[in-house]
Amino acid sequence: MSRGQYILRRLVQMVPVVFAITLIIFIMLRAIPGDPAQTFLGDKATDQQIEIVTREMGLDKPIYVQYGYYLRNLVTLDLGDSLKYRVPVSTLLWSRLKVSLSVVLVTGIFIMLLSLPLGILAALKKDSLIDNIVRSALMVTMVMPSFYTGILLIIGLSIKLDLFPVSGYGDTFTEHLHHLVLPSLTLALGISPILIRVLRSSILEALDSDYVNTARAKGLTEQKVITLHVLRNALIPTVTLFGVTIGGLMGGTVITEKVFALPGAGALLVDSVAARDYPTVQSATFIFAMMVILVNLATDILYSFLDPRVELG
Amino acid sequence: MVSLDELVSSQFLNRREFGRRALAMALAAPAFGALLAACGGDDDDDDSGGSSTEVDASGGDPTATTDISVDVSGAATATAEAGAGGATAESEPSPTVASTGSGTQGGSLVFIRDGDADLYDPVLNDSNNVIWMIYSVYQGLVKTDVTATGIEPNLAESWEVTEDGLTYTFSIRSGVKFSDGSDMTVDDIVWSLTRARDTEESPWSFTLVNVTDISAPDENTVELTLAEGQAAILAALAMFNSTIVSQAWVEENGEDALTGMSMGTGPFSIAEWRTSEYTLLARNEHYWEEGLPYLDEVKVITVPDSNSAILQMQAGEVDGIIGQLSIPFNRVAELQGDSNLQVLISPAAYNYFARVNAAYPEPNPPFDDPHARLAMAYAIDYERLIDTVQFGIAEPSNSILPRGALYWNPDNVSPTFDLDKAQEEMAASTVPDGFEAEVLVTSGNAQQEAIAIALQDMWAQINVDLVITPLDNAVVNERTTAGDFDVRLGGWTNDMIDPDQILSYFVLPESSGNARTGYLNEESVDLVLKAKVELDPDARQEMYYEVQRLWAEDGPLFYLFNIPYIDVLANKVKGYFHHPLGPHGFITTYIEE
Repeated sequence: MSRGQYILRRLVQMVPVVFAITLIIFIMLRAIPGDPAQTFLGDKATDQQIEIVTREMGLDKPIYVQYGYYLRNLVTLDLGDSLKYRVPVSTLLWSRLKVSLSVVLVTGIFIMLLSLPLGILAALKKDSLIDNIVRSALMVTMVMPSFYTGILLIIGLSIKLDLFPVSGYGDTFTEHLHHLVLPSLTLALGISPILIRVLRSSILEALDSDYVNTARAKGLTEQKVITLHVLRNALIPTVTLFGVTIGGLMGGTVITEKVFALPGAGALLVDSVAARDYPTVQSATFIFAMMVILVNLATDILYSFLDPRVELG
Repeated sequence: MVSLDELVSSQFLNRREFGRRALAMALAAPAFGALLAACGGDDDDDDSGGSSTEVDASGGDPTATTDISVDVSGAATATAEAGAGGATAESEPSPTVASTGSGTQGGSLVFIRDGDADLYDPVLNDSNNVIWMIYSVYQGLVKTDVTATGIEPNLAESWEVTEDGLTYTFSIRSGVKFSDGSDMTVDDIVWSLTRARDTEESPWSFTLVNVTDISAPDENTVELTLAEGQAAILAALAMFNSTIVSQAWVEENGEDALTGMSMGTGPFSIAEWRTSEYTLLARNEHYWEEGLPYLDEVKVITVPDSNSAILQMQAGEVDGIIGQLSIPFNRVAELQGDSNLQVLISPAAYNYFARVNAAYPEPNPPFDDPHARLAMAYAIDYERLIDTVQFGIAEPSNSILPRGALYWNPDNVSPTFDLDKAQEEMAASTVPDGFEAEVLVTSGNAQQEAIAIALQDMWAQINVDLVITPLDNAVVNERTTAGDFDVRLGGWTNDMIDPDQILSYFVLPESSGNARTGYLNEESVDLVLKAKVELDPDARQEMYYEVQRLWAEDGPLFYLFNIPYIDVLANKVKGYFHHPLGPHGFITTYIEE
């Protein structure tokens, strides 16, 4: 099966998955207790106000009609209006997704910058002092909760050394990048240790394999053995893990967003769930789900480049 | 051949673990402000003598662990002085706030608060984060004075009331312009007030429901006709929903434009609003008060995490942290010790209580038994609560009305800590052997959790077993509205100076089942209804004092404490004033390097 056919088939397979996702999101949101109108009006709501706001939010309509609206909105890409902010969900979501995507992108770069050299180094210098330092230091950053890592980075790099802003997102592209360093580093420090360990053990496994012996035996330089044979094989599990982690990061950076006051989509989603802002939650979770699916697809395709033995299909 | 499935299934599947953990923690930390009931009373009859001293007295209260007065740090002196001069009789034009101040012009400041606005429409909004900014942008015919006990002229220079109290004639200030430079006319006023009254989905339209006619007999006069006497009407007109918006601007840009932009007569206008990022206020070049405002720009950014906010403050990246609960109480002492910062602790119309569901929607034994309620009330060690939960930053509460508020009775008697009495009441109750009570707390709300744990300990001494149920905010609201709770914790911030609204909400049964307590006290119902139409301030005071007494006797509320506002400012920030009803006083703020 060619790569093009494979992608097409996977996309077609996505349709029922996506449909199921919409249904699950819709049902779960309505199954959890808590009423949007009551939540919007708060503690002091009178019965009459609740009734008016419920009608205004369109929540007095039958549930299947509401689901129909939801599907229609997704298909027409007009995601409706937020119940909380009363602006179009698409506007709201896009402004936040931009931030989240940049966080994920920069985090991805940091993860690679940290994981590749350290993983390779730790594997090649197995059981050396360096190996032990890398492994134990990263164990520490892995178990530290992200809000704690974040605050430590702020104190060290922003307050003491004044290298980066404490929080916020800035106004220009350079400012955005400048503001993204600490939050992305925080996330990367939490994720990289796992990748490094995976990479390290895969490299060690590859180094033990017959094809590496063969490569060495036929007189390849050690550098060529490592880059052409060991790394290429050892990267596959790392890429899998990298892919799923990045996919999960799309909506999963909430705490980091809060610590660094980043206006990201994760925080929007949590606030919207708290407010029972149905249209926003429905659209945001749908988009996150889509992103995870697409990242997974991209990861699968990436295998075929890394390992010709992998058959798509 | 290595199959794809094998590869994937052999790998760790912990991709979501990280995200799930993050989500769970963040769900547990919703902004506390979201659940604070914002409500208020409505009117205004000025009771100037007694009320202004009340605020002063609160600062010198020997029982308070922390002094709370307007000018703790000196930052608000300009405003406070001007305010004292401004609290004159209501029909006289008074000097404008801080016109005596010596602020320097220009500059911009950046402030942090912990939550963002949702929409800036003065009529549709329903959150303190909006309300407290709106007064910098929009103005009403009248406004609340700095002590929050009287009404002052604003866009109306003066007004007259007919003998029967049914017709109010306002003389409108001339030369007032909107921030685009266009003239404000009486038509804008009539249009704005009509919109405030007739917008059905506004949570605040009830404040003007008694107004039958809004008209402009000539270009300097606006006349309001009431269906029946309403003592609180001026206080209602001082509220954010009755502020004046440019009709022409709305007609050109549509009502939706009011969500994120503004066209009012206030000292600032909203130059830019990015949800969850910041609101940028720009000086209104056409502002009518000579020399005000001082600042060119005020940027209010949202930083939900208080540690991060304090770090930014300490790093000198921002000029202040403002809001209601942006600063955790346990950090105040540390900040007070920082010589680069000033900590402003200002009196707030912010009362905090525990309420029990006595009978909503049906009797909820044993909480419908006055003896059981009294036993609970006497068993609370109020001082210890203030010391432990509030780190000393709160003052005792003795009434349903917030401390220092209009018609608040400083001598009102409410149950104080007395274990013997508590035990006597238990013995006299229907449940002498004790009972179980469930308190709903908003999960992640550290203050509520701390109070609940303290109460659990205190009530255990009278054999009341308090079960703490942490729930998501929306669920707490739903269960409260349904009456499915025994105890709730929560604050009340006044939006209007008149006690009519808070008392209507709690005392009158119709709209909310006595704030979902089901506690119906016929005598106080009569008094609140009478006070609505009583125009003599002394007579009203007497009625409201009596209501406070009745509700403290064996009512469903346990008055825990009054919480002040805490603002942290850089030393260069002068003239900032936090109004007792919450609004941020950017108008008089200036920079002194």
